[in-house]
Amino acid sequence: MVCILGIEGSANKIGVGIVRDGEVLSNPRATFHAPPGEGFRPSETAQHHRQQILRVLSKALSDANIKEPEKEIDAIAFTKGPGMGAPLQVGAVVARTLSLMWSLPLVPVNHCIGHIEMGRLITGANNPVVLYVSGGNTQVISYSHYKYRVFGETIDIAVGNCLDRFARVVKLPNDPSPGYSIEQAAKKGSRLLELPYNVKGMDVAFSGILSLIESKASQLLSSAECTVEDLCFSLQETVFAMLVEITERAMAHTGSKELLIVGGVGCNKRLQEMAESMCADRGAHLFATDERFCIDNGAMIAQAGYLMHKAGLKCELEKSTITQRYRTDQVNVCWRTK
Amino acid sequence: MPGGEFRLGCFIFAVMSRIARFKIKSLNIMSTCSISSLFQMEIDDGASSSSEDEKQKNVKPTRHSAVLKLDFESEEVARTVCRVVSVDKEPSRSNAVRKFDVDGSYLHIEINSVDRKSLQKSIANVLEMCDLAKSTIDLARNKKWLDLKGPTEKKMKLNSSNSK
Repeated sequence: MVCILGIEGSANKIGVGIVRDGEVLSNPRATFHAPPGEGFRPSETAQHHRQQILRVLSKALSDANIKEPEKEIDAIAFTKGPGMGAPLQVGAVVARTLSLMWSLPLVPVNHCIGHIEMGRLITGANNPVVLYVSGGNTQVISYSHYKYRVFGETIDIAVGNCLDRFARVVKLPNDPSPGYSIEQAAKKGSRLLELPYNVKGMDVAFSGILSLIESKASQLLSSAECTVEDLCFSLQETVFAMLVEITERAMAHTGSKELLIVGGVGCNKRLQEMAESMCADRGAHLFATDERFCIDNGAMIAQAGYLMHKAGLKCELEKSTITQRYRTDQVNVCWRTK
Repeated sequence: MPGGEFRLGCFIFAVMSRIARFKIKSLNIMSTCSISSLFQMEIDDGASSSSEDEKQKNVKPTRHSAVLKLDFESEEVARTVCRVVSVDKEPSRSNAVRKFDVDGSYLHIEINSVDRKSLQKSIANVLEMCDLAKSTIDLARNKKWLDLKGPTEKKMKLNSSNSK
């Protein structure tokens, strides 16, 4: 019986999760919400995480009914990167401290691989093509020869970043998340505004779409040509169609019959609908998780840490640095077979 | 005598600097030994994944400095906090350099910097991280999370749905 405690805090969510042999024992989380029209900044986000992390940690240990952590927990996993520097440091400092206090090994986890491994655990997907979409990342990934290979990705901003920044322009609320606010508004939209469609082979670009819709938003809204809901609807249809196209191209290239969507934007029901439609046409199966695990959480770090720990991976405390850039394909995935 | 105090301060700085360099050297030696003896598996392709490699700074003469002396009430706590906080390097845009030393229950931190902004940010960050590490130690030692359980909640709870 192997039990891992995971700490995640690379963006505006701080979470602590405890996983034991594939079972999530606890997974509390706290989110930092910036006011409408604003994004979260590293220093303010780190301050929020410093204030909340011990409360979230207490709740995780309490909910999992951990009494003797030195004996009941086998390792501490934390997000090494990628992410914002100051928030990452908060999680790393707490992880190191617990590692010393309880004499447990440290496991540094790649944030993207945390999402993938939790997605595989929850959905039971075997060897899927992975569409990883969030505020900080947009990648199409497939596993091959001990690496999670990046087949396609954004060449500028992440799709979630594009959605979040558009939400700022039209002052949609950041609670529970700007992406969710856009999703709800898009359901009421009906008119499709033509936007740039920037697929470049296996890669995508979103900055042009964001610039156009930002520049046109105030003009269109003031002249009442269309509503905020129409803009949200148009933005979603365009960017999600782009994502589905590059994903299908990867599935065709690998011959995969499974698609797994992970990351915060993976919560979006419209994206899941479009992906489901594409998979149905291809005779493939779509796997998706709900908001408990799509959104950043500590359990996903614990799950990836669990796999790494069982494979014998750990790192010394003096090497447990954080890094803001940590590519998915840098990690040696020695817990999976060729 | 102002002059005497000034010279004494320099002496303290000099001694602390030498002690810090010796400790860092010792850490490096221990680290090397453990690596060569364990043949540890690499978690990732090392190059460009560590924030240490991002550090490519030109050496400039430092103009500003600060010495912090924090009391943690026991040497064990001071050593733990020192180990935890000293792992993180300065951000690549910072011009500050930190040195850590433990003296009994006191943690000494010397920060030298080219500009005042880097010095100020470095001081703020190191204080915040020390506070966080100390709070975590208190939590782990006192097992405060056990108090969260009410007398009626004795069964194990599966809270995978516990999220916002």
